[in-house]
Order: sequence, then C-alpha cells, then structure tokens
Amino acid sequence: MSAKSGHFSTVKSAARPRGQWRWRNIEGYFFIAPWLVGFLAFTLGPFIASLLLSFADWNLVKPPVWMGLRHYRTMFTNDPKWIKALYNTAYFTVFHVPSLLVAAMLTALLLNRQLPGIGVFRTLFYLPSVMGGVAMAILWVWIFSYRFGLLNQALAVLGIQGPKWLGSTVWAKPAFVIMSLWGFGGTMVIYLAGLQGVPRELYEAAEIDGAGAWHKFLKVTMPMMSPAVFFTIVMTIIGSFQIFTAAFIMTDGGPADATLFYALHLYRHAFQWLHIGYASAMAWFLFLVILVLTLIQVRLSGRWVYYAGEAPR
Amino acid sequence: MSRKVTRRELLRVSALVGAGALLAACQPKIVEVEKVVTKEVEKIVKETVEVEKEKIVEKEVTKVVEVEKVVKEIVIPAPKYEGVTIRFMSSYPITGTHPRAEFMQRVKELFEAKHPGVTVEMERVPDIDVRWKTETAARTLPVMLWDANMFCEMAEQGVFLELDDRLEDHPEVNLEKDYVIPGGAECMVYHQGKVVAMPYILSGPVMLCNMDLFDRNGIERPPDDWTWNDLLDICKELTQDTTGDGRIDQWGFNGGTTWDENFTQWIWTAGGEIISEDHKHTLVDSPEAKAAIQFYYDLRFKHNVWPRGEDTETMSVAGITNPFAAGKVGIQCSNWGAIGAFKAFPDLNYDLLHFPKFPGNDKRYHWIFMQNFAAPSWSEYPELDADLVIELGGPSSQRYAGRLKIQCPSYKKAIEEDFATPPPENARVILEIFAQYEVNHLPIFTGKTEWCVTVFGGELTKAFIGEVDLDTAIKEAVLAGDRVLASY
Repeated sequence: MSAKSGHFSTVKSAARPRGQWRWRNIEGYFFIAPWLVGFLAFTLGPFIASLLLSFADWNLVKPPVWMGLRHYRTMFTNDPKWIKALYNTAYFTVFHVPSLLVAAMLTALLLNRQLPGIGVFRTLFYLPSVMGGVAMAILWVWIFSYRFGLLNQALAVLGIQGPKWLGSTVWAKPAFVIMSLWGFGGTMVIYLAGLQGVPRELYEAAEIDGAGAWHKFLKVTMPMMSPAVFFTIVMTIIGSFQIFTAAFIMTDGGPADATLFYALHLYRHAFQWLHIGYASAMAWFLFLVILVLTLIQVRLSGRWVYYAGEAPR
Repeated sequence: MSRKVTRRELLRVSALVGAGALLAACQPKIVEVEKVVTKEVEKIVKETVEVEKEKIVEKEVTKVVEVEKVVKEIVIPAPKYEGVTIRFMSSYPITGTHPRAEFMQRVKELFEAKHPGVTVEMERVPDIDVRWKTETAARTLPVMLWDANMFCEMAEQGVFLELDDRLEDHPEVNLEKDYVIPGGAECMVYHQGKVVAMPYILSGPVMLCNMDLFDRNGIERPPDDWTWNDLLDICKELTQDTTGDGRIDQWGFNGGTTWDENFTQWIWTAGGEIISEDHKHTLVDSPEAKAAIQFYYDLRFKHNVWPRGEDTETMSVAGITNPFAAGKVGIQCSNWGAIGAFKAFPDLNYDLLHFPKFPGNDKRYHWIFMQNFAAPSWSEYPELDADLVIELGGPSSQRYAGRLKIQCPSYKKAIEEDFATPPPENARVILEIFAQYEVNHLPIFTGKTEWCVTVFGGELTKAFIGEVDLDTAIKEAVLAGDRVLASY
C-alpha cells in the first residue's frame, strides 16, 4: 500500500511565534552538540587538515612548507613502492571480495534452515569475525608455518607439499586472502537476515512454474538478496583497500614487499619516516579511488539491484 | 487540573540536570596539603679540644681548653620543588629484573633522594617510535632514551635542552676527557658547540663462539688475527646433521640482514663503504662492498653454514628463540648487548672473538652505535630535566651500567673496570677493539631510517631470503637507496 493511498490526519501547524521557533532550533543543536563537537574536532577538522597537509611538507617538528602537487607527482613518478603497494592491495581486493561473498552466501544458504541447534552453528560461524586484530594475526602465523603449521600438515595428509606461505613472495598474498575468509561471519549474518526476508510465496510460485533449486536461487533468491549483496560488495571493497593490521603484525610488508599493502606503506611514511604531507596525499588518493569505485558500483547497481516497492524499470 | 509532562519537557529538564551534574563534577578538588617546612638550624656544640702540650725544661704544661664551637647542622633542606613530577620515557624495561630496569630504578632512587619533592615518573613505551613523534608534535616530549637514527635530525631542529649550565654544577662530568664519543657521533652529544645530551651506551658488533660446541668438535678458539677464510673453515666443520635425519640441525654461523649494522662490519673490513661522505649515494655496489656482501651471502646459500628462514622458523616453533644459546649455532655475529643478555643463560659457555680480518688486509674497522639521554628544549622544569639527564649519563650511572653489562658504557673507566671484565673469559677483546681498530659511528644523516629499511631491510634482504639473485638485489638496493637519499 503506497503512502499516497493511506489515510493520515493532517494537523495544520498553528502559527508559532518566531522566538519559539528559534528556541526549538537551539534546543535541537544543544542535543546534538556532543556529537557535533566530536565530528568537527575529530573527523571534519582532521579531514581538512590532512587535505591541506597533502600539499605541504611536514615532519611534525618544523612548520609545514607548501609543496603544491609535488607529493601527488612523486607517487606516480618516483615511488616504485607506492605502485607496488597499490598493486598488492588491488590483488588482495580482487581475490578477497568475491571469495568472501561466495563463502558467506553459501554458508548463509546452509544455515537458513529451521533445524534443532541451528543457532549454535550460526554462532560458531559468526564468532571468528568478532575476533580481530593482533591475536588473530599471530594465530594465523602459526597456521601458516612451513614445517609445523596446521595448513601444511592438512595438505600433507592429502599428499601435497605445502608452500612457504608467509615466507614466499608468490604465496604470501594468497595466504592473506585465505586468512581473510576467516571473517566472513559478519557478511553471513547479513545474508541470513536477507534470506529470511525473502517471501515464501515467491518460492512457491516458482515451484508451481517448475523451477528447480538452481533456478529458484538464480531467479528468486538472488534478485531479492541483491540489495544486501550490493551493500556487502561496497563495504567489503572499502574494507579490503584498508588492510593493515594483519600485514603489520605477520609480515611487516615482506617477504620482499610482497605484502606491502597501501595502508602499511602509508603508515610507514607517516609514522616511521615523518613524511606527514606525503602520507596525507596517499590517504587522499586512496579516498578518491574508493570513492570512484563506489560511485561506479552505485551506477551499475541500477542494472541488477532490485528494491521491492520500486517502480519497474 | 494536573498537566501532563511532555516528552520534550522531560528531555529538556534531564539535559539541564545532566549538564549541571557534569559541571559540578568538573569542579577542581580542594585538597588540603600538609606543608612541612624545614629550615637550617644553627646548633651550639661544646667541644673539648686538647690544644697544645708545652714542654718546658722544668715542667710540663698541658693546656686543655674548652671551646664553644658553633656548628651548622643542616636538618633537611627546604625543598625547592613540591609535588613536582617529571617524566621519563623509554622503549626498554623500566620495572622488573631486567638489567635496564635495574639501572632505571637506581637512577630514579638517586635522583629523587637528591631532589626531595620531585617524583620521576618512568614509563616504558613499546611503540616509542610513534609516541615520541606524537609527543614532539604536542610539545609534551619528556626526558627520553634516544638512539642515533633520529636524534641528530631532531637536534638540528632545536628539540633538545642545552645542558651546559647545569653541567657547571657537576664537575665530575668531563665529556671530552672521560667519555668515548666515537667519530661521526658528535651530533649525539653536541649541537652548535653546546651539550644537548648525555652519552649512555655504545653498541658494536661482536663475534661470539659457543665453546661447548667448539670443544665437542675438537675445534680450538681461533687466534685474534684470524681471517674470513678461517671463519668459513670453522663454520663448515661445525655445520652438521647431528640427529641423522638427513637435515642439518647444527650450523656454524648465524647473523642478521635487515639493518646496516648487519652489513657494515663486513663491508668496512673489506675496505668498502655503505654510503658516500656527502650521504647522497649508496655504495654497496663498490667492488669491496660487493665482495663482502658476496662472502656473507655465500655463508648461507653456497656453503649452507647459516640457517635459512625455514630453519629459523622450525627452531622457533620448537621453542628455540636463541639458536646460539641453545647450542644450535657455533659462531654468532651479534652486538655487545649479548654479553649482558647471556647472563640469563648461566650454563652457556661462550667467549668473545675478534672480528676476522679480510684476507690480505690487516687494517681493522669497527662500527659503533650510540644511545643517549636528552631533555626537550620546551621543558617545564628545565633544571630538573637537565639534572635527570646528567644523572642518567653521569659517571656513577655509567659504572653501574658497565657492571650490569647492558651494553658498553661510554665512560672510559666504566668500560675498563666494569664492562670489559670476565665473563666471558676474553672480555679483553673489547678494550683491544678500542685500542687497535678504527672505530667510527655508523653513518648518521637525515632519512637514515628510510634508507636502511629500503636498502638493507628491503632490497638486500630479498637476496638473503632467496627471492632474487644477489647481483640484482645489490643493483636494486643502490637504485632504491639513491632515490630515498635524493628525496631528502
């Protein structure tokens, strides 16, 4: 039922004195003041400061010196590690995003059943995603150990000689992709909620029309899940571009810069070498890349994302 | 007629009450301070003094005179500062049984005894590289333990407090006469002719040999004038599969690759340099430097006498974090701090060796890396901070550091009488290094950290983990290193 056909009693707002309007506005600002102050001081302020610093040279001690576009030129022309970091991050994103989403969707489909104890399984699959940071990174260092790690031991059972993982320039990035799947639980929960929101009548109608399991998934489940999938694609891409903690703890960008991700390279310039201006420029470039990718996805979403209640295109 | 309170009114009143409560809670606490005032007291003491004996031919006269003596008895000096706290920051242990912690606690106690009313708050900061930069930007930097990588850069920018005025009150401190300040490290102590830091400790490379491993294999301790070829022969003898499982589990040598410290001793001994004098060019591709790096590389990849990454990882998983102390490695290229660290391994029978000579070259070189203490120029209590710095680096503390064998002290007497003493048996090697080698500080220049991480930790390490061949690694190291140097 659309809003236009609903019955609403409309109350004509009585003409209020001007002073009362002003007092209401002040009241409103007063209530949002804590958040507003925090936003200005800790978000917008640093945003603007970092934008200005991206055009300056600053090492925390001396006053900033204006450099114009020099940092942006250096990124593209005189910093091979920047290019390497961008490549490593793009590599990780390209493999991490689809594998995470597929793993989350498959698991959500499996867990979308009314079975005794299903809640336990849902919890178990979700738990790893709330374990983050340093502890997880150290755990995975052990799992990826060449001689004694769980992963290579499991591969040995199958008769496969496991690679050096974190000690190999070829396998270090795939190791991070594998490790990142550990956290699919958050995405799985979103998909689970989405699956439970798909009307049963649609499945029944599809069955009546003779659709099998695969067709039901393709023609009913996926279109109805498309808003959730779109959301998770956007958020996962944004998150994957910012991978830092695991690389910092596990490999520190090695071996041989194979896991030198963008955020780690930025961190080094900012906090190890005091190139605050250059690091700010890197941060703004990353912001632009993520912004462009998000806009592209939003643009393309019109072709495949279905919102119930929208007028047909 | 009772009037219903609206939600808006309830929220308005709650917000006002909350704001009032917050304001009340933020009132400064009024604290009663008990003031203890002491003053100098003059005290009269009666003292009987035997003055003189007069010997006269006929009689002896002894005069005993009672003298009233006025004695100034200082009870407790009235404290100049009351309730003042000054801060100190370090990445090393501050509390516990670690030698560095013992050193810090002793300095704290001595300083606080000399400065009643003042408390020294010592903080261990593991992420000190980020923390000191943040505190510098915020102008809250406290007295700190520094190393050479960033100190001189910061000194150039006037970050540190001049100590000359306070040093006048400390005649026991004579930096020029009594301290070792290696060539190239002047900026760690002086800036524009003024003293801005007190030297703390010196680190340098040291060759250690596991005497039990040597004895088990019938190998004698090498002579002082041994060469790289002798080192290789000994390492080959010590590298064995002791368990018979087809895998080497005992190696002749172990060293590092990630920093300039790991390469410089080899390159200097071969007659090369790592960087040009003007700090504009990376020189690891000179023939001498290449020869040195090639020898070092071959220890691992040609002669297999140095454990590789997976071997170290295997040992680490098996709980062996120090292969030398665990008897898995015969010769360890380490630094002077190992001497103190090995006090934790009382059963370890090890000794010091001279660094082997480059075949055909009798001249010996030795790098040094200095740590120091300094206070910020914007200190709220410059006198106290300066006194703390002087206490930390002064002769008494230097001697204590020498006895603890944290690293080599900078105070000459502490080196001779405290640090360079057994154990190990041949601790005299330390003194002979200062006497016989050309000792210089590792190069100090702006951008050094980034350059080291790029050249040694980055490009050269790629070869030492087997990812690229050595020639390519050296070429890339020079290109990348020069790029970094050009950006500063």
